[in-house]
Amino acid sequence: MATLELSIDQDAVASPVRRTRRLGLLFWLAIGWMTFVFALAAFADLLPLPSPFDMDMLERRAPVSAVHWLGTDGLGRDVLSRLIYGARISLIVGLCAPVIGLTIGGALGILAGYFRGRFETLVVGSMDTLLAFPPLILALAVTAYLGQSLVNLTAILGVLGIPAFMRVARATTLTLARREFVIAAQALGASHARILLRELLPNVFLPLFAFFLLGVAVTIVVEGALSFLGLGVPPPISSWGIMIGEGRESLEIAPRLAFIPAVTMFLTVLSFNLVGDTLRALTDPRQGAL
Amino acid sequence: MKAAARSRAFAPIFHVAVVGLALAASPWVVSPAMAQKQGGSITMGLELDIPGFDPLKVGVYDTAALTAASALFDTLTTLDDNGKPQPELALSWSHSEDFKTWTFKLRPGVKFHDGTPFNAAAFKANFDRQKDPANKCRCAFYIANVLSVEAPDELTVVYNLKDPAVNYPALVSYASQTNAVHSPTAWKTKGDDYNRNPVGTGPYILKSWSAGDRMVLERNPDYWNKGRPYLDRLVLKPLPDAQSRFASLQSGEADIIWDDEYDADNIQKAQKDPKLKVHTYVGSGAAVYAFNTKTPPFDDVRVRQALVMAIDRKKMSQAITNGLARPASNPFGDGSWVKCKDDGALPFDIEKAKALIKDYGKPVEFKMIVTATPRGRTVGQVLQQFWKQVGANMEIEQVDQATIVPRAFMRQFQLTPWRIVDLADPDTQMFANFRSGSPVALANYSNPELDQLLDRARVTPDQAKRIEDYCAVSRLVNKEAIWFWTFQNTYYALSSAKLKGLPKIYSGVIDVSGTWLE
Repeated sequence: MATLELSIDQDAVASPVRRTRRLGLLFWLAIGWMTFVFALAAFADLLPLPSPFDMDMLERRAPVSAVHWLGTDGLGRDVLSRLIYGARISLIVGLCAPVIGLTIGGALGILAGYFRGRFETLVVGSMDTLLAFPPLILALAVTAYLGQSLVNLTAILGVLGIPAFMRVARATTLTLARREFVIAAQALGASHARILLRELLPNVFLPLFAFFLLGVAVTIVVEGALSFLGLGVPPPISSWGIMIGEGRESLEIAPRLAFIPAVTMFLTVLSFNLVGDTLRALTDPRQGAL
Repeated sequence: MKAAARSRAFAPIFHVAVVGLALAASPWVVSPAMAQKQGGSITMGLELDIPGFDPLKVGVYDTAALTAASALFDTLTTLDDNGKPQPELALSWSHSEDFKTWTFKLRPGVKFHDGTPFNAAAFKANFDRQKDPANKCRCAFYIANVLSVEAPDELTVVYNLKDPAVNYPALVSYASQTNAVHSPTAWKTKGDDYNRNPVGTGPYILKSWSAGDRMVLERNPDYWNKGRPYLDRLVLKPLPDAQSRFASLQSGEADIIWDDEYDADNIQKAQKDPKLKVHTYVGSGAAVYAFNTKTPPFDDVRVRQALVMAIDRKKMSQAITNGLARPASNPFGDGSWVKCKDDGALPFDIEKAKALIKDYGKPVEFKMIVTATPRGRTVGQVLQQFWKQVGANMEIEQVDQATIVPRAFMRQFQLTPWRIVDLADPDTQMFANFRSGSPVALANYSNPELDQLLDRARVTPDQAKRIEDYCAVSRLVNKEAIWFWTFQNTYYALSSAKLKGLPKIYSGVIDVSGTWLE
């Protein structure tokens, strides 16, 4: 999760120049690719695909053909089908885990940034503790202890994302909490709940959402890494990381088995990054302050 | 004329005699065409990192440890290429009428690497240390059949066995946790450090060892077998990943690597490469799986039979090993002297399997343990697929290799992988695996008929009768489907073509003490 933090700090320093408000071709290409992947993953059951689990053991590593559009993998399963069903896992984990981080981390961050004091010290302190824990080791320990499943994987990746979201939310809240509209609301006698929900939340939400998209990208990569190590979702479910890991076994004979999921993951992560970055540039409160 | 005719007549006989001599010549005998060269150093790529050599600490040696142990230690006997025991630390041996007492005469003048002499007292000290209940050695399980070892004089060792063993010298032939002879002085003085500072009588001496990286062995200049070994230095490296292990062989970084048939692509590539040589040994035993018959759904024989019948071994071999793996229909295998006309193997029959599952009535759902390795996941997924076709749902549970053994001993599984290794005599493992009450009788299955067969086979000196009994065991186990076997054991090592003189790789143990570089 450290990478997330880095990218923010760097951007804060490296992009003092105002970005144009035009979104550009790349942005729309990224949106297009994301929509495409989402649609395929969502409607996988309706598509005329072979089952991602059925093996044709005598047709291993078959080349591209009319039956198998992207060929078959090392156990004779349809690569295209596994890729699309794998997108489901990657997207479910990639979206759900940051949602956990967004909800818990965001709430803690806003509360800490608004109330300050002991509560803030406690929250920041505990988050620092969580950050200090090596994330991969924690993930390994949890999967070893609780067993491998989609839910466990999502939960652990979600928890690991909380500190980063908390920091973004707190930082944004800190700058907003002293602004005129908040002071005005306080002067009008608004309750804390009202200020938090009606004044702060809408303003914190956009930068947090932009950060969420970056979080999705990182989570997809981390899920891939864990699956590659055999600690992601249990077989025979496919995920892009598992496909890369299995494809690695026949890297010299059929490099496409590792290459196809790797490229798909690369494009998807790149899209989330591009969109997230663009949105972040648009919603950065520091720009509004100028 | 007469003389010429006679010599022509004798010529074929003479020829046969010469050829016969040449065939009989083991690698020990130097023939001019295969001149061994002294010197040089080789690097070996092994699959696993070696945890240590102290039997009390490690309990059991895996193949990587055995490979190193075969260079560091000597054993009483060694197997020749025909699988017959030959003298090593023992010069000769004899047995009592009932095969319960074996007497070994030791080789005189042998010294451990630390200079202390090897003798019967040292040998007995090794045994007593492992057998001592106070030491709680997990290795004691492997010498459960030995009541005591006595040392009546300096160079005589007497084994007193609980149960008769007709082929005992063959069982002490490889440098396992219980067969390797350690220096008693060394383990006493080094204490806890002995595990990583082993001292034996073997052809190589440990020079340096950095965990996870490399182990360097130097030639033993005072080795009892003069002129041996040929190579000055061995470097052993753990290279767990098959791809990188093969890559290091291709690049010349390693001269010989351990391999198995799951790395079929590389084995087949090496077969085509004139610079490389594929060493293979068809052993006895098989890759096996045990059902826990005390847990549903495996308490019902119909379910077990159905699952076994659903496995298409030929297809499976194709899928996971490019067809290299040899299907097994009994636990003995082609490398064993137990050959059965009828081993009672259940046929591959999907329809019958479906019918049996249907007959059982309840949904068949269970968990199978696999190792958390690419190999384990592949095998698991293929079996899962076979069983899905007949209506059984298997869930894969990945666990660490090291946790499989304790879980198996505690019966915390429904279906677990296991292995019947390549031993010179089937009794040890058959008795342990199927006799009721044994800690390794994983199926939790008890059958007086099976027990009776196993009890009888181990005390019968007549091999033909033993074969009959073991085939009956196979028929019974196959019929009850308490265990099943997928593939026979085949061991592989890939080396550079320059490395010569490698003996058979019994049990996958690469013994390079007689090899040289050309």
